[in-house]
Amino acid sequence: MSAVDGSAALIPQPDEGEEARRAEAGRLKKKYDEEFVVFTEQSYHLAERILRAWCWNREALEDALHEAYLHGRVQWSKIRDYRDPIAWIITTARNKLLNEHDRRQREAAMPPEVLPPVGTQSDLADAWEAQETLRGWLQQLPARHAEVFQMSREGFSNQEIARILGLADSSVRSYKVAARQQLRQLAEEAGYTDSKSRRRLGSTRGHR
Amino acid sequence: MDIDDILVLAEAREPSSLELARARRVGRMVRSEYDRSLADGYEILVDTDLVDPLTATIDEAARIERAAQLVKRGTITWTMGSGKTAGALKWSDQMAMIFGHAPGTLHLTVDSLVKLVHPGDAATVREAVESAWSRRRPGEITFRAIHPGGSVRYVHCHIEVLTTAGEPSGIVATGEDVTTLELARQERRRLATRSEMLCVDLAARDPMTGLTNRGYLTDEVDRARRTLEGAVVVVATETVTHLAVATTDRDHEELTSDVAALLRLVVGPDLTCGSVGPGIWGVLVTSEDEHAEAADALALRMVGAIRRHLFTVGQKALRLYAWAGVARFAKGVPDTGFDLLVDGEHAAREARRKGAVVHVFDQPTDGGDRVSRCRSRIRHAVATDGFALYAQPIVDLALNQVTRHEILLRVRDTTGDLIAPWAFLDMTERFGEIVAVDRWVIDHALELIGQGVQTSHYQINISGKSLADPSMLTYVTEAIRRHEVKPECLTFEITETALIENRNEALAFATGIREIGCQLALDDFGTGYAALAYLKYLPVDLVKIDGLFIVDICQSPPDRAVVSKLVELCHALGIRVAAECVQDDETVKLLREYGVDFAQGYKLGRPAPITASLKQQENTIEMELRFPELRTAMG
Repeated sequence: MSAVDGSAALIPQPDEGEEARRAEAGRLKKKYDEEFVVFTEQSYHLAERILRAWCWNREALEDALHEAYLHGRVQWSKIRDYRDPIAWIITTARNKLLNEHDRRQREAAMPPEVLPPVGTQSDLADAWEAQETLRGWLQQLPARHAEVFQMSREGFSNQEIARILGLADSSVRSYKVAARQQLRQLAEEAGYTDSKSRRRLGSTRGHR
Repeated sequence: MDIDDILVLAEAREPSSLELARARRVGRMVRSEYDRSLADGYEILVDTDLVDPLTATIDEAARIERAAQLVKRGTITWTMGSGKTAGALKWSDQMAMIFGHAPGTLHLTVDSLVKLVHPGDAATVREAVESAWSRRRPGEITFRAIHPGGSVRYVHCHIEVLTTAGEPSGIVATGEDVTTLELARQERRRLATRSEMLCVDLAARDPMTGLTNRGYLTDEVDRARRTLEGAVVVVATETVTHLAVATTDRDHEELTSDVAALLRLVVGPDLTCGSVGPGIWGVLVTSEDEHAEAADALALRMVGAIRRHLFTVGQKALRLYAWAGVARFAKGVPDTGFDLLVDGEHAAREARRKGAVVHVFDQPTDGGDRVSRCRSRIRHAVATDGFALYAQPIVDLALNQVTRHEILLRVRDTTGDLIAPWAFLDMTERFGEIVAVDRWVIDHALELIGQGVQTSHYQINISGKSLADPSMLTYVTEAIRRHEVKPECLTFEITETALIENRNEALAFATGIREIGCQLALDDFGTGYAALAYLKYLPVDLVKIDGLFIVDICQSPPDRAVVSKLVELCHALGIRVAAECVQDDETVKLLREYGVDFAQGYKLGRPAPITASLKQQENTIEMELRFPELRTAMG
């Protein structure tokens, strides 16, 4: 994916120019490779968490993410300048998942008992358990509500969410509110009703 | 712990080392795959737009349309015109195809769009759009779209409100064809309903004794004799002393259920043990049951257990006599399960006659002998009036009072006790002697009714098999005339335990009986052979729903479904409906709700003897024709 600059054609000695270009391309590729590895390791879990909020077919999800990262690498020279390259990765992976139309429809047709188990009534002991339980509930929500909710937890702003997911700006807030309501209801149905701490969860994750 | 706590707890989690390893692995795989593509010179096609989703400056509607297009969703955008200009409505090519139109062939207006929606869903769609717009809140809806060819597809749409400069400026609907999904969902719902409504075969087990019923046992014997050798053990019981006159049906039931419990214990759970007749029990022993003892040893044990046991009925202790018959059969004998059961009963009678404990037939008795033996027993019973008639009140649920009685047959057993007739009637029907018994019942019932004041309405059973007899109609007509019974007070219940033998003859009888003014009912409807077609061409006035559907109706959604719809069906056909085996007030209430016309059951009134003697032709008739205490149905 070495871009040929218009000025390159003006260099009189093609062999030399060719060589220089190749060296430059090699240098760039090495740089991009390194950048991309760092980007992947830093962003992979974020993307995975967001997609898992509504897609419970992990295999399909991993395939889609893998493809998206590969495409991201192919276009890294452009994407690396984006405000947040992960937005592009999420959009790409999500499109791939949504386009697997038949497969998704069959998935959705599965009986409810195939859905992942939801946490039991005992208090959740650790973060992992909490996250799994939460994911179980999220996957029972309408897909849009779940992904909007998860993205906002990951620190994306309403406008960013609207743009990444292709939603109207005005919808994001409503989806978030609806998601939280439904989660509360699911939690209560599972027996989680009494608040230990009265503090509200105001701030978002903020790791970004 | 509540949702907020859980959210906070979930936040705290950092990726585990395994998860970090996964991210690194993805990084490496991507790199090697990319390098390979460079080395091999093939291009990896990237199908997502190469614009930064976060910074691109693009109109909101266009952005949503493009996003939808990339995932093969269609869009409809409806932007409000400002001031006097009308709003613009347009759909994407994908959406046009979802509605079955080639892109660009249809000019979309609100009216033309409404026409594309199934009329049944149009109002809901309108409401969803209006509510989204007025509340400035996104919504979603699934509706049916009608394609130009008339076929129907399910379409799901997200409805969102567009904003321009902070003001709502339009509506965008993003949709896809979800027919597959919707059908799968419907099928899932159907399967869930089906499994919820599916019941175990209750008919096989007698609720009172917990043992299998006669029909089930007969079938099991029949199945066994085809592939196995074995034996049928039949045990007959009899009370040592006559039960006092004061004993009630309930006492009999208590005794029966005690005997059954004892036998279950003696026989064990592995063998098929069932009730053959009132006070008669049968067990199937086959060569397949490896650990089973010999049939005659089992018979001895059963008899011994019953004879030794002290039963209690009400407050009184009671002992039973018992005899056993064993009918052995070889593999593949031509005699049916029913034949072998009859042989077993015969063997038990032989034991009683000879004063032995057990009598064994080593092989099935001769078919001809068996038939003539049984026929002569039946004829003897008819000739010597070995029967009695009982009457059971039937409550009119609309009037809340007893307006009818069903005349029931009781058979006198060897000790002179009156017992339920089902085993006897089964045998009689199978040996083709039912006409004689039906005639006895009709003649004696009409005689009793003719002697009474005829204020009630009487329902008399007649077997579907008897209807094949061409002289039956004449016989009935003659009896009605002879006993001076008002024909309009009579309903003949066709029992459907046996198939109506001759359709044409049955139709002639049914038509004829109604011509003289009587009414016609179908008994045990829903479990016998009665087809729905009968309701169409037989001039039936009443359908009696089998007790199988009634006993558990309050707890059973499938029973409720069957009964409520059957009532609807019958009423639509101009047929009244009665329910049998009504056992409690709750059931009465429910049946009344469903519009059932009549109810009958032990709770509403048990069968009681019609005590009038046939010989006393005069006076005391009203006294003697005393029907069971009239109970008012509560509810």
